[in-house]
Amino acid sequence: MTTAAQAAPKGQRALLSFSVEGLPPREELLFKSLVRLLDHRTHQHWAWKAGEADLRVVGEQSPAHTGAPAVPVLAVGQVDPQRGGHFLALPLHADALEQTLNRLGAMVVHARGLGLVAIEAGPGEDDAFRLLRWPPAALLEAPHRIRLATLMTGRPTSLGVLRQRSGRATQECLDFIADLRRSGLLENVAEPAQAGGFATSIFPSSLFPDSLFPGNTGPDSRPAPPRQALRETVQPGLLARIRNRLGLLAPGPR
Amino acid sequence: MTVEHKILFTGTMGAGKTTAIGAVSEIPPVSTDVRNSDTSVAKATTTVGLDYGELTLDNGEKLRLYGTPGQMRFDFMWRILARGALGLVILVDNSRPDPLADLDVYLDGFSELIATTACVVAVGRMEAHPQPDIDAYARRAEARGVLCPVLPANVTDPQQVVQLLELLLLQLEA
Repeated sequence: MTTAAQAAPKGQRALLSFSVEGLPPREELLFKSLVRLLDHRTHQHWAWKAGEADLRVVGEQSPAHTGAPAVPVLAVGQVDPQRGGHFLALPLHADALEQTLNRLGAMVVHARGLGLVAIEAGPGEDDAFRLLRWPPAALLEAPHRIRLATLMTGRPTSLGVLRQRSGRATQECLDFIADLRRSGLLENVAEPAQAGGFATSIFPSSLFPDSLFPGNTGPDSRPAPPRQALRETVQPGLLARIRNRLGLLAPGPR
Repeated sequence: MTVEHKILFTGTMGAGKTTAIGAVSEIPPVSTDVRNSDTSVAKATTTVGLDYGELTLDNGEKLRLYGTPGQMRFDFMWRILARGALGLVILVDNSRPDPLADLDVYLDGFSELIATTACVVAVGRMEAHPQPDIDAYARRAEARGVLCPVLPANVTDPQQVVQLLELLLLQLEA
């Protein structure tokens, strides 16, 4: 069992992924839950991912896998399949799982360092992608990551646009994008990311007649306009003035 | 005529709407509180109308901060308040019996506003009540088709309220 003193600082931990196949649903759920519970102890941060991952967790019901990529396989079951690989016995024990994850995590990280594992190519400057879901808290430990994720909640974006809007370093954006992609939270999109347009938008003063509360008390039966369209009608300079009043810095070069 | 803009704070009774507004407003928040008759909530008073605070921008315009009444029986006011709002902060109290269901209420009640502008979900009292965790809220929002920031927050800390407002601004700027 590791101690808190031995655990690596969270901000320096590698983010690794694992897939699960062939485990009974109850055991799969328990495995994923234990991994989450152990997150503050394991040397790497582990996140479940559908499809190819850094580690394959396979149960006794798992079909034979041929042509598999070079990733470690962890067999989980009642009986060790005696294939000479890594094995965890059921019922799962947190201590054993922690030790196994640390051992396999070290292998993966080492293999990456030697270039034995293919590292996903980073996105191109203008490759557009979309955030599918608000990221798990484990990926948002640094405040700038919350801001980066927030900038991705609207229309599709790209590395270049993200860097421009956030004012963060390219590597910080790339690291975050890579973590999101490994967690299956990013989707490539065909449409090009749009770099702003907001700052040049025009605010017709009649668009928000009811902002002078109180106003019309009847229900609004008009269909809601697209999110982007309404955002672009905000008065130029308004957001900067609010930022200024709240003592906030501009989000980044625009 | 003075141009006015508004941001809404919503959430259940006791979630901290009045506190959040008071944390950043330049005037003491105006509240329409009355004596609380709901014995399930340990509050002496509760907001039956709305809370109001404001900030004056450097060009004289006002940013108005409204706290909506929390109870569903006042949901007719939600729609009125939502019209023309720049964004919405949903405050959830994690100590309540079913806070995820509470989130559903406000995601549904403000669905039109959320679809057209910025939204942040802030979950309070997570230190003493860590479950459900913040990721459960993100999944719940996703199930409702909402993608917005979801984070723990203590609205008694003005800096954290400012952070919530900044996340609204970032969405509007994106």
